[in-house]
Amino acid sequence: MTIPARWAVLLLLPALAMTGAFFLVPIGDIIVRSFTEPVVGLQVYERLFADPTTWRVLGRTFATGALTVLLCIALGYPYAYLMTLVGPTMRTILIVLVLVPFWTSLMARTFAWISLLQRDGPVSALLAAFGLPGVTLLGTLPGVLIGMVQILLPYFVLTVYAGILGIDRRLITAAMSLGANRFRAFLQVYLPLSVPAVIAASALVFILALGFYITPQLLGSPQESLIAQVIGVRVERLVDFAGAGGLSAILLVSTALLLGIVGLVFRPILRALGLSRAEVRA
Amino acid sequence: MRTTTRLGALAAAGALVLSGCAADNGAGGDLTLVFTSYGSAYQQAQNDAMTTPWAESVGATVINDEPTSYARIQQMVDAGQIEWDVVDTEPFFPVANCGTLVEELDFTNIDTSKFPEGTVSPCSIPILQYSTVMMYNTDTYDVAPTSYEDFFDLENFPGVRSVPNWGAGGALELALLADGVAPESLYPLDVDRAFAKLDTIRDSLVFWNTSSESQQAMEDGTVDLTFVWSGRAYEAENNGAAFEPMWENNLIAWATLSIIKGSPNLEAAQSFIEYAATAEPQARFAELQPYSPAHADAQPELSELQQKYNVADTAIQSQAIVTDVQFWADNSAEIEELWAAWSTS
Repeated sequence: MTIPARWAVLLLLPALAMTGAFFLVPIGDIIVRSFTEPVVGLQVYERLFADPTTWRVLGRTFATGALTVLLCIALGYPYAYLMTLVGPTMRTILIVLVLVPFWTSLMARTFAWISLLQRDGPVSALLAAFGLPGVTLLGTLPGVLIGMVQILLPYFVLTVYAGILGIDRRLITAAMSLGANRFRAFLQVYLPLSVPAVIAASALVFILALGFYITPQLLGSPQESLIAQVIGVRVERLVDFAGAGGLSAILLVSTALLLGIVGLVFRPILRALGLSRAEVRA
Repeated sequence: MRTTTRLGALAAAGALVLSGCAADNGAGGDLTLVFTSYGSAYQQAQNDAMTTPWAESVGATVINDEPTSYARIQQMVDAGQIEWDVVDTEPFFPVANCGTLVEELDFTNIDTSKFPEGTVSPCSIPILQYSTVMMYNTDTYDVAPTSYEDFFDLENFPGVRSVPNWGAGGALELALLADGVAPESLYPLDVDRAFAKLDTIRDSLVFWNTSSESQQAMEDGTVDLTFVWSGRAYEAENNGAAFEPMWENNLIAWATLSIIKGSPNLEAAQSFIEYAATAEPQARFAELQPYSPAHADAQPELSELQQKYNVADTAIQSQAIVTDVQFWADNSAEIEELWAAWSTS
């Protein structure tokens, strides 16, 4: 039974209503407040832009997000690739290994990291055994990155896996039959084809990382504070809803700009890799 | 499904939903009170010592909510939908927002002379006292530190220091007192001087955001010198932490109860506050939780360890500095922004 197009739109209404009521309205409200409190104007934004903390924390948030993405690529891409190579049983095991942390409570995992990374904890002892005595990772950027990467890796791996599943492995065999060795075949055939999936996964991980609150709060020192924590303090301690709305709007706009710039930069790179327009857009 | 069965099922479902909508007033009469505090054992003790006995004596129903959130209070008052009646807050909040976010209290039945000076405001009464006190790790140090200057002495007392991660947490007072400011001239705080002093130990400084973290750090021994709430110090020592207090210049603070502006249960709220302002409930609370009563006549029966951390004790009070609530009410917003800028850089 096919549904005429106009009826299909009606099916969207519940989802649209929910998104509108519980997402767009509250966010719109707090952003409007940033333009209207205490008087209509841009004074909230003037104050935020003049405050060096805003820029410092925003920059730090983007940098931490970028580092998280790089680490996820380094750890997650080989894992996802491995998942396509193995047989069904091993693949199920690998998927479960990725999903089990995913299903575990975020709080439980973060607290476990506190225990592991604290002064005189197991990780400290391990590093001492490798010739780095007296290093405490809790309250440092590496500590925060460890926690964030562990939490975001399943998102990355599953997204990349879903993307590269569709790559025809016979293309590599074909390349090898044309004279390429395995590495060349992988580098020049498989890798370029997997780039769209990696980009999609990276964008996902990056945007999620920008909103991280609990993990940097518990694993990092205030010098690793990310924008969500600063917004949180503004809401809870300063009760400055307009300022919080302003910071949220700044975050939203700068993220959109950043992703736009990255997209523009990547387009020629992807074309250089030999991917067609259609694949680039995918 | 046949029409009658369908209608029957619909009616049954409707009845079930509607019964859920009916407000449950329990055994109480017309009086209801929504009491909001910080949750867990603390709020449970407040229930055992204060809200439940009061509710029984006047025949009211008490609903608990948690945790106290200034943002929610602001939001409630802005929207005109007051969901909380009596709330336990930090002392500066009712002073800063008297008349705007909290109601003025009726003091006809409250004896304010029984409370320490500076703890009562037109909009709040104190229900307990606690102190922010310097604690040192006895495993790390053979010689005990004797003043706040030792907190900043990296040569003789090396190690990790921990302070609360917000401006009003006490770190600024700690720094100024260590830098030689006399307690009488402490307020108004010279914030720049305090930050400069804290910068001298910045590399060895960590921060705690919640009191549980501060307690955990003491129990795990991951800090050497720390500045924590006396209640948490008690809990940590009770759990075997190797820390001892240094009481000189401890910062006395207190928790207050106030009524949210526009509360629908004003009569019940006023009645409860009058009850909580008496000696008995405060003494009962002090026996359950490691905080001291604010009421001068309260005589709680305390264990030896509880007595050690009883900040109402004259030995501790004589060394204490009372937090200037009016100063924090006036300057909290500005100083918190400065603290956020300093701590995140």
